[in-house]
Amino acid sequence: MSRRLRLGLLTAFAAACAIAFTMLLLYTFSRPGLRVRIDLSSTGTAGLSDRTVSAIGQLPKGSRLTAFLFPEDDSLRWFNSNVYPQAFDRITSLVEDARVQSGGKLETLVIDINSPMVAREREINRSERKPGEAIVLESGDQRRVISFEDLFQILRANTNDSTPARIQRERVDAALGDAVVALASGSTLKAGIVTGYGQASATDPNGLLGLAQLLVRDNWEPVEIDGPADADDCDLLIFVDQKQPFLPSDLKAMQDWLADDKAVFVALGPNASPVAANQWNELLKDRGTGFEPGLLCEPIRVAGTLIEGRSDCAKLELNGERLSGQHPITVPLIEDNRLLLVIGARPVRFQSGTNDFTQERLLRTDPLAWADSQDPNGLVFSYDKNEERGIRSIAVATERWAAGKEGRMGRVVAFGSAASLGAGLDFNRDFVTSSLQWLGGDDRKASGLIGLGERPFQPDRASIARINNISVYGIPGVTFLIGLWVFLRRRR
Amino acid sequence: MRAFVALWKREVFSMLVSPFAYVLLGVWFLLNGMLFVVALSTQQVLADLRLLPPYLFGSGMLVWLLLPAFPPLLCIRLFAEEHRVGTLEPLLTAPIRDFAVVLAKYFAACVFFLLFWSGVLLLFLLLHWHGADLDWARVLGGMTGAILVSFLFLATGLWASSWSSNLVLGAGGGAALNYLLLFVPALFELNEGPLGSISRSMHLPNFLDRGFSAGLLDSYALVYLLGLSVLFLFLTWMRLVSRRWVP
Repeated sequence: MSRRLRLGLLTAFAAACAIAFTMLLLYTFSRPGLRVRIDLSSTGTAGLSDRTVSAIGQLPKGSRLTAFLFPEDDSLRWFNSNVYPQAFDRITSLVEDARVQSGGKLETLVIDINSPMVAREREINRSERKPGEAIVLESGDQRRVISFEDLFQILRANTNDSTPARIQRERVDAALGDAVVALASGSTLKAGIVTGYGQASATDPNGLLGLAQLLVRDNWEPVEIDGPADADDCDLLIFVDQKQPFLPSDLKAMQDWLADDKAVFVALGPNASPVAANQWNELLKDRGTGFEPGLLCEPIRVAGTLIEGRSDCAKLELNGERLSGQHPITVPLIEDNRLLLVIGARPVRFQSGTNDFTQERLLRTDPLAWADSQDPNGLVFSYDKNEERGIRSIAVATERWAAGKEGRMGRVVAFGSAASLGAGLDFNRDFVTSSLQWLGGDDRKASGLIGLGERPFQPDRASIARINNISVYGIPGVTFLIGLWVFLRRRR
Repeated sequence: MRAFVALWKREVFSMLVSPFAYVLLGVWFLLNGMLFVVALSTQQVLADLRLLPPYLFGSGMLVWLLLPAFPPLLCIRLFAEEHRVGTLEPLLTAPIRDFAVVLAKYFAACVFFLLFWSGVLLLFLLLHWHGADLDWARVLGGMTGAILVSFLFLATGLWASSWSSNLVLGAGGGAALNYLLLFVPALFELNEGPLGSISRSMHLPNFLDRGFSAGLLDSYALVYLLGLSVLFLFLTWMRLVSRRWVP
């Protein structure tokens, strides 16, 4: 072999070794233990939270996340709205972070408007994605879906003054974390929605379908049951707007349920039967709560004057001052400045129970509120002398002081408004979500809603002109002039 | 080391007194200024300036069109022109190691290319002086990523420049290689299986768009960009060494 050929081969071999070494280096540094992501943002929210990262670490290998990022709701694009660009920017960066942090356990795929139509259709069919669904998480035969509206709290466009829609808050990290936790644990808690006593169905869009969907989003498995006697394998019982009293068998089952320290969410509005309300009062007597008659009303302020006598008096707007600053259900809502709108509520009893239970008033009325009682003309939404003004409870949470049977805390939330879980659910989603999390035993988990930290820029015309001139003419022009000067100097 | 510093200084100086480098710089500033103005004229960016860094450094035209083309143009004079005018052979026989020659030329190009980015930084400062509330984590993160990508493209440009005395071939080859580094992973990104995952782990705009410009520094992206840069510098050195027996 000639010396030239030998050296040539040696060079080629060295180059191949260098390429192989680089590939090995990249492979090594893509391993979970050696890959680090540093969040440069001042808020520390540019990437996933520790909770979500830790949950992703529990996923089995071969899990898959597909994000579908294309605009579907035209109203979110009206008046040059920024909703979709902001939302997609946030989702893509967190999805990428999830892929990186999973250490190869989670395959991610982002399908957006630039993706080939074939790939888009293939993924939609494979993941059985429905309109409005933004993220599909799959692991084995399990699947979790996160819809766009679960990720972002959006203020809709106002067509009257052409105000575009905007994102108020987002919870992409929290929603991803919830979904991954459910997927990693491989099991979900079961929530029994009782519908055998005049309640609306959990499949009825005008009934409790919204609540059932909210439960699914929060990793519960909702099941519709006739009564407590059918709730053997449930972890939580939900009663919304019970119109008829319990049958004896169900009443006994309910007593046993509470005696077993299992969780209950009960929402009775003013339309519940008095007998049913009394049954609940008996059931919850030891816990110091129950339901009182009447429709909670407050005077409303119109043009600086407090007025009564309107149906709007029964719509109670609750800001942070009316929420408990002590309880895990309401603290995250206060921190996130959530405003609740409780519709058609009855007073909830808040008094001392036995020493076994604690009570906390979650939501309360204004001091000028009263419980409007029926008079011969029906509800008049006006205070009269038979009624009493004062602060009333709208929701109360109770639990055992110390863990009871099988370590359960016997948690119960009594809520005085049934309509707020049906038609009014959109105004109270965070309260319901937070309550469900507490009832499920996760009292440390906040709602996960965080501000988007928008940074609008509204320069005047002169500023825009100056920025444009300096960017397009100023900086390049000066550079060309320096180049010309250098050229002339060199010629000399 | 002294010879390395002397050569590095000579290279930086020769760029600073090169009218061609200023033409490149001016065109770069002009195109970037136009992109910047176009981005600022969109309602989306004005409504939320956090979208500006990903637009400029990640998914925008800067990365996809401009960035792969400019570094090789700056690199053509480093080896290809030296070869063409016949000054390469004396340099390689001078008392300085071949690898020091490569590094001196590369670092000189890197320093000069920082001037390119200083103009882009100036645009953000301009916004800041006009009262814009910028998310500096995103701006500086995105710029760091873009600078590292440009350093990689300088390394590929240097390698392409070392192959021929033909300036067009040198610049074109470097740019073609850079576009391949950008587009090939993008083509296979949606594939399933190993091909898809390898493509995603090499996708430069993703590093910028979903990492650096989002305010996240990813150690893998840093290793990828620096590792490939070192690889191309090594290949450049191999090419210089091999010139002695394979011209």
